[in-house]
Amino acid sequence: MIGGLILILGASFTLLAAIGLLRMPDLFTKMHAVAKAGAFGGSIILILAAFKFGFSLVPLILLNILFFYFTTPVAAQMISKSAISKNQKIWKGKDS
Amino acid sequence: MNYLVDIPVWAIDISYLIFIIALSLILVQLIRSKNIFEKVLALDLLTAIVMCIAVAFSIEVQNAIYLEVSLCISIIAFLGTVAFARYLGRS
Repeated sequence: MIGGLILILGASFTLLAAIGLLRMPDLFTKMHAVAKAGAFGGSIILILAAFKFGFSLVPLILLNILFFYFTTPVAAQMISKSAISKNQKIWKGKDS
Repeated sequence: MNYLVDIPVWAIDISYLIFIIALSLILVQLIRSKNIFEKVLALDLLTAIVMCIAVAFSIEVQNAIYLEVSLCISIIAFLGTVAFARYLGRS
């Protein structure tokens, strides 16, 4: 019962990342939504899988978390670095 | 500990439905945007959600082989996004 709620919570984090990708005004704010929310939703589902599969599969799931949670923000930083060098437009505040 | 991870069937179905809604929203953004960087970002999130679907599937059939599928998808998606970013910043 509780595991089902945690699974739905992890899935809704990725839905929030997809909604943020649509509704944010600029490239760099979109990158905030994707890198933070998407990686966190995946990590929650992976930790639930670690609780389900027992003690012998914890190193594999830790490797999964390492390759997913630690590399998604790094990839977002490299995208933003190349976007700065191509003079992308920065959103300066005020209403939408 | 077993009462904690006894996942009912309706929870897995609802999570699949949420993943499908997120995938369709990303597809709309991929088609509709005019900027190349936003398309690269949408493709990165697309592969991340496919990875989450693989993990949910391994929880459903209770077979641990599908966790290695998610590992390979995450590694290849990271390499692809880094290659795209380096190419777009250079040309």
